[in-house]
Amino acid sequence: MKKGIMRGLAGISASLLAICFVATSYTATRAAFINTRLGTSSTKLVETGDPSTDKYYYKSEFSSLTDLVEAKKSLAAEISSEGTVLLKNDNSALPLAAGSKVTLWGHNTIFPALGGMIGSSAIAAEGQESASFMSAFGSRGFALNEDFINLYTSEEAFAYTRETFFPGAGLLPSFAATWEPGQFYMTGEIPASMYTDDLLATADDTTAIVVITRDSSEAADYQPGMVCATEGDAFERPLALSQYEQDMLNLAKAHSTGVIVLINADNAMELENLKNDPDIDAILWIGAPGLYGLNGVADVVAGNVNPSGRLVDTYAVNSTSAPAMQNFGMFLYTSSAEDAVDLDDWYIVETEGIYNGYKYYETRYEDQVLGQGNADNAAGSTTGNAWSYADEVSYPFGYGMSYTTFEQKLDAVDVSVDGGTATVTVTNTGSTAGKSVAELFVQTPYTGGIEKASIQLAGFAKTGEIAPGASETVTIKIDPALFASYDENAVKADGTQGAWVLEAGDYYFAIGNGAHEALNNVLALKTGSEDKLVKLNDEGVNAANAYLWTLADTDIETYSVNVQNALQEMDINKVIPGTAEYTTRADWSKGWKSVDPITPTEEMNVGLGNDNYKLNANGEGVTWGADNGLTLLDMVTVEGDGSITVADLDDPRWQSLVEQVSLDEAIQFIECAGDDIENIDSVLLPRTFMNDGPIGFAYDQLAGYKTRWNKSDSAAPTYVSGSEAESTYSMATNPTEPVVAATFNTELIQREGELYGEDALWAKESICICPGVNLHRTPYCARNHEYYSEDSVLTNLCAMAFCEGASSKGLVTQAKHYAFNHQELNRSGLSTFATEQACRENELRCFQGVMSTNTTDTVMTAFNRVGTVFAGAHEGILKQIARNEWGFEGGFVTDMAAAQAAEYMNWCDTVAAGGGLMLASTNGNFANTSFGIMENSRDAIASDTYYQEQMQEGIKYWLYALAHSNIINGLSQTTEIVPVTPWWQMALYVADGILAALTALFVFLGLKSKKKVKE
Amino acid sequence: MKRTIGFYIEFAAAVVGLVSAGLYGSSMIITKNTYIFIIAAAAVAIISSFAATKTPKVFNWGAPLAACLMAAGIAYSITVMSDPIGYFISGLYTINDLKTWITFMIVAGVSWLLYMIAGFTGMVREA
Repeated sequence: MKKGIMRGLAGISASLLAICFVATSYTATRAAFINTRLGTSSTKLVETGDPSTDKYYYKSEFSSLTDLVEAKKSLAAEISSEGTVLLKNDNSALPLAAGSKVTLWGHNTIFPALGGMIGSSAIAAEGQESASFMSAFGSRGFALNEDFINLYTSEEAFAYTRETFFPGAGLLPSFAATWEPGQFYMTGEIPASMYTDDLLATADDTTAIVVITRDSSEAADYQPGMVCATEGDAFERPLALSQYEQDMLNLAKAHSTGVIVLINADNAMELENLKNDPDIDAILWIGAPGLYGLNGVADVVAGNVNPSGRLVDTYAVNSTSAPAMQNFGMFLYTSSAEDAVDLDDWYIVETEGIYNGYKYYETRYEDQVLGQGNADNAAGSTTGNAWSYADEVSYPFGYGMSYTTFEQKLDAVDVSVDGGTATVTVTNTGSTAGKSVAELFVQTPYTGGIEKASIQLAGFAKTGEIAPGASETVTIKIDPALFASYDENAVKADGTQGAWVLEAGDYYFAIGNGAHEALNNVLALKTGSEDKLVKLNDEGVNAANAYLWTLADTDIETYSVNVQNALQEMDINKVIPGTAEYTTRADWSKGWKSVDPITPTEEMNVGLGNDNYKLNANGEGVTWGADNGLTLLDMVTVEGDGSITVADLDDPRWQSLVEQVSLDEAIQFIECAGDDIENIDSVLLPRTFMNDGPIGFAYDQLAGYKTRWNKSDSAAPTYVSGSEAESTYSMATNPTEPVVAATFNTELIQREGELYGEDALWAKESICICPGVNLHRTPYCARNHEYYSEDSVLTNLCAMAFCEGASSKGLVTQAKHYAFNHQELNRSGLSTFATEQACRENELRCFQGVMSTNTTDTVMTAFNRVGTVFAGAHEGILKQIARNEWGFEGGFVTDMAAAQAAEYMNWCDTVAAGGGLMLASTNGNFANTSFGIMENSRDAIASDTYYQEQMQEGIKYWLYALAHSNIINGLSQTTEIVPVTPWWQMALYVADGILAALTALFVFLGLKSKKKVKE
Repeated sequence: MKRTIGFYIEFAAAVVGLVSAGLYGSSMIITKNTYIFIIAAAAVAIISSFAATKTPKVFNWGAPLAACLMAAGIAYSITVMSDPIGYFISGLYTINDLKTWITFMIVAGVSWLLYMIAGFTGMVREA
């Protein structure tokens, strides 16, 4: 018996030893990650020089974490109040008087959409209290109907909660590849039968505030054919009102003194019924306003803030009516087989060309007015009759109302090919003080050749608070680069093909409350008549607010330095002629077909084969591990006034610095750029922390400011020990990007960036994976909440303002997802096709601002393919467009390579194409690909000079980026990085030893007892 | 030599272990190490359970050895899933993304438990 016990105990201890041994070796590769969670470190910065030297170059403007958190709350409310868009306000229903009796209608008042469900903008309070509808409206002095709150918080109502994963979640996100798009969405509303007569009577003398909610999430999309998952409820489309929502509205209309609807959704919903319903008094779009943003929304309802937001998307009568919806969703190559799910199987063809969002609706409208281009053809018509703008759009892009009235006057436009300005005088003609937005649009000459939108945003300016009767004149910068057209066929003086073109002809600049009013102003000036114009909402027509500028000669050179075609293979018709029918102004009846299943050609299979670069012996090699005596800090100069400058990238010392890095350090740096960026001791680069995302640093397993600090950092002025009440707070609290963009206030957005930078200083983070700058291609991408708008210029300018603010505090931003990440469904490895003109004028223009001015220091590439080549390994967008054309000097990193373990997202192709680093916490997942881990290819890498040059280039760009960051805080010329063994690692070593000894002991005793038995 | 119940437990553990290896293929991220250790555990168990009838003093130790190998296989599967587990905790992933791996862990855990029980009982009664 005894020997059996010993043998069994030996089995247990040996098992535990095996686990402990694997854990010891594995945790050694993840030490940095564990250290951040335990507040420990595997290295120590030791000051060998004068310890009294000030080593904190980026300083906080706050004296305590409490002050920072309060500033964030205040800014979030300010952004939400300025980002709230008033769409309807009949009989001045808003604002509500102080002390008004209010009934909050809608079960989703309890579970509003404040951010994303999951992913890089997932929102959740971690120890702090968020602003709820009840707290926000209650604190603004409204008397809330408690009976309704009791109903919505009852167990009976909870059964209707949007709860696909957790309360308040209605979509079904999935990171895995799927053969079936999402089929269900639940709105979370309760049936009308739950509102008893007694309950409804309590609402009779109150104002109804009805909340309509739709979710946002990474890894999910809406689909037009979705059905409502709540039994008894139904909708025609998930972005239309559901039956339960309509029933609730009917009850609210019958049992209230007035009805105000709040649209709590970042995806453009169908609002035509609400707009036309005379019993709906007011509509406010509030988007997903973050953890504290409802305070700002309540301020608008209460009249503490006069709304000044403008729509960032077109609100169509039918959310599927744009041509982009014809090719959104799941499309399979004919070579795909449903029994072999792979990341190469799907594609999307963006057949709408440049006609995205309002560029479609407004351009077709002009052609309808002018009777050209077959615009009134029934193709694409929501009604099935002749296409008519009035039947298609509820609220146009850029539209928004106020509690007062403003008169805007286009004073002057001073423009040439090189740029210019427009001045606009805004006068408050009403009786309430408020801000307004001067939106400048431009129409470029359409000659029937290059596709042109009839109107596009050229710039904007937000006024300050203007008192009744007062005026303010604002100046809007005109940059023709933002409205030049891309001509794939132009041949420039240097013989290269492809150019940014300003065609000779008439350019109309116009202001207006949104794109539609501006276009009407253009048409009034252009045609001299208002007869055929369609006026939506309260817009006016004023030809005096349009300005004609005539360009005598076509210019293809000014904005085309280093430019040449780089995305021709993205045009599926150039690979397989006749595959796609693109939307064209020449004939609006075209462009309404879904692309038939595509059979990849041999040429396409090169990209789909995920093996674009093969390591090969070439060249003389490069220098690694040189002793040049430089550190990263040598590249930084701190001036006497505290300003910081970094040596230009063409300074030869950068190459010398990179040559100090050893090949092993380089491999580690490139292959393991997840969670944090690896330290490079040879250049005195400490480990650098990086985290999502667009609404603030994500809580990433453990919340809080204290997470990345350890005791050895205690000398830092922004050190958070854990004793502070806010130390565990989630930092991902900010309003979502559509709300931010809707402010049309770049000063406010820059301030938001500054506070992200402050969060970084207090949380010991240096890189934030934001802003998201992809385009809203359709209303159905459930990740639109992480991107600003359907308009590339608005996105461009918002992103620049944010990044400028962040970088002023030493925060490295990481604009994402470069490029064409327009849907979440099967985004991994998704082949994306579009014309080069469309790519450059829409999606790439979003990125161009932050990358051409280097206001973002790093860029994350997308999961999808550009054509058939992985975006992170596509030389066209990485080298030609980003480096050669835009002069981008920052680093690239892939999206979550760690999670994919996919062939297409491999380090070999990525580095060779200039894709920089791999977002992976460990190289372990690469082991599961045919490429294996980089270290195993060390010899092949060491013999491939070209490849090593690309490695060094990628590292140089990253070191240059990090030299602009707060990572230099705490460093001096006499600082040394010293390795230490953290306690948890020591504990594992001890556990290994004890378990090994126990196992040996049990084995010995087991064998010994056998011997005794034998004797 | 008389077989004990441990003989059957160990045999069952090997079968369950091999089933878990089959399930492992559908996990989100896999590592060859897990396959190697699970199959090695099953091989040790099967060989030792038959060999123990001749040399029980040596081959009764097959069960503890198999338990040790099985534990290593499970541990390696956790290492490659650490990122997805982290993403699940932080909200990037949902439980659906992990369910195939969790199923594997449950089945592999049963196998490991059986190996350890067999370690106590032995497979063949020693003289």
